[in-house]
Amino acid sequence: MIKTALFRIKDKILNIARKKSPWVLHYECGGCNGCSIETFACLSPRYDVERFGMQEKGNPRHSDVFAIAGTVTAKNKDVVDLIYHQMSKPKVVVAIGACAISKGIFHDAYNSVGPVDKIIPVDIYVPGCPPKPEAIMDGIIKAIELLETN
Amino acid sequence: MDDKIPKCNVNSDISNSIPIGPQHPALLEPEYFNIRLDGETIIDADINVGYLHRGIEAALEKKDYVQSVFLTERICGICSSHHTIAYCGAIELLHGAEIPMRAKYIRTIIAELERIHSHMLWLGVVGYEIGLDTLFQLVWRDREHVMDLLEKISGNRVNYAMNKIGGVRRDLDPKILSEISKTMDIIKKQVIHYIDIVSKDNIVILRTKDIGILSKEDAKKYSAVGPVARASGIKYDVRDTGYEAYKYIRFDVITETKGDVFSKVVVRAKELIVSSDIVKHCVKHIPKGDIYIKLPLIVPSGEVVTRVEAPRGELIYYVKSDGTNKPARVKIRTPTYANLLSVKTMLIGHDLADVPVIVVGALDPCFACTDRVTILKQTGNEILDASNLRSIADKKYN
Amino acid sequence: MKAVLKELGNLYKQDNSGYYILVKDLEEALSVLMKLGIYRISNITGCDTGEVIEVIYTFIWDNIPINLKIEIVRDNPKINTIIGMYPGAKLYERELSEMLGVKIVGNDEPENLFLAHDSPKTPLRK
Repeated sequence: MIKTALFRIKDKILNIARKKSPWVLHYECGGCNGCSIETFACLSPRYDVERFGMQEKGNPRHSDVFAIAGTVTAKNKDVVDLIYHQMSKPKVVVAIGACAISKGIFHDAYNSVGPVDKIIPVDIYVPGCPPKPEAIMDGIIKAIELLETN
Repeated sequence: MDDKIPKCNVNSDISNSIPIGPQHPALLEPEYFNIRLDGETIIDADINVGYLHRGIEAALEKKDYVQSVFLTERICGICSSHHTIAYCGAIELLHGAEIPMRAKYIRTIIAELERIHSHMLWLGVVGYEIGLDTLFQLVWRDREHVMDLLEKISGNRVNYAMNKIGGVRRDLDPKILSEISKTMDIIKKQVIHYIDIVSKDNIVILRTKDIGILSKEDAKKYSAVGPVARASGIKYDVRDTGYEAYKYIRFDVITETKGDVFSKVVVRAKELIVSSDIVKHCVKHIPKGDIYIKLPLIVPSGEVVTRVEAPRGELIYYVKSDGTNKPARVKIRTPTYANLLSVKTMLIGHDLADVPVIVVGALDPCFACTDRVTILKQTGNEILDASNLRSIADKKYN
Repeated sequence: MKAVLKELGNLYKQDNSGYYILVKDLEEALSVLMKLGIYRISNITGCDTGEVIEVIYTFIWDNIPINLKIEIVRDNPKINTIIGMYPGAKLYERELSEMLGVKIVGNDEPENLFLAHDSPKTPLRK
């Protein structure tokens, strides 16, 4: 009885810690880079995403949130799969931009294999071409709330 | 545990091969470099491209001319309006038509604002790679003034859709024109402050002087373009040909002679000042008139080559038409593609830690334009511990 | 300038956007260009018209594009490399062979630049 209660308390503390300092990994699959630049602009002093405790780290094994932009090209699909499996649970995936959600304007390009959710499961979709930095932050914050209930 | 770690070999010319792969903390876009090392020094480098290849040239043949302008805009998010200037210019040449003067000035203003935001983006990322995070935060804060302007003019921060076949889509009223002028004064003042920081700060000088040198002969041999060639002493700028409104504006072409990353930083920083002067001149002398002429949907058959100066160098478009409303062949040669062969020369002889500085700082890659990628795999035998690494750093900087 | 270029071949178009010349002997034309001091190759385009494959080499002389066009057969197309005279043409020729299936004698590397192993082969052919 005491053991289960202790485990529950430990889980609650871990959840609060995860929610207060999520680390984000960003990867650009095959788009025009507009969405990547807007994601990077979130780190600039105007939008300042670090006040939510978020940091942009390059290492998949350290991250909780996988922010992916662009449509998946033929050479990139193994890379995306590998990165997703290198991340440890619990994790959430945020697809940013029209190309990541539905191939966007590249719907008839021969080398574009598909939207991101054909390769890995996606939790949050942020539409736009490109979405503004405020919309990206909103999407990532909603994703973090999913982390807690995961 | 000890026998699992391979022992160091006595033979000193063992070389490790380190790939720096599509996903890497230092790289903004997927790129693949395969680097062979001897200790910490790079002895060979190879590039693998193709991770962002989407098949755009084939997709452009399926769309008609009006739709294809939107697709060319999304080849690259940082130089998007230059692609449309080249493409719409090619189609207007095939028609044999000339767009109104006011449209030419508006296209020039948008192109120069884009050059300013692209160079500021690059300057911030170089600061981030070197380790000078303050420069990154300062420059990206000031870049937001330019992004606000672009949003007020066109409605979007990226992919503005201002250019169309026959002219531009939206006009600039006098209120916006005076706001552009005031913002350019602010930007010029801040850029002069950054040039001061960059030329005197010890961190920048240590990490960029004499790194990634590209000599004038090598730049000529590998056909380098843009600021990479201008920093090695080759005075080559496509804006001298006088396309759009450039033939009515007098401006300087900045060159340096040394060819290392520091000269490239200086060239791009001074180009920011030149661009803000060009924008102010255009705003002051913009003529009144129409912004658009109507052109028929069917384009007469023929072929044409147009060139523009994108932020990263010379951008060439070849458009061939066969008398229908869809293009027969569009070939795009982007500036990063032309500069790729010179990366190997710039990398050899330097340390592994200089790779992000050279790749981002010297080359300023836009792989969305070029479609290339990198991957890393560990295959080395030698293990360097903390004291070895420390002694290498001491030898280099003392 | 015009006299020199007329000697290279059939000058079929000339306007603000440059000179367009149809040549028969590419090496001879390139050696003339090298003597004029043109050291940089700017672009190589391949186009499948349905009847022939056209290959267009673009050079810039005195800020004006000079385009040399040659025509080769569609079945089993072959062409000699120019990287001996212009080393900067290496990547353009590889892209030409990957997208249109043209065999470049002297610059034949088996690895593709852009296409993955499961992408369509020679996508720009009609």
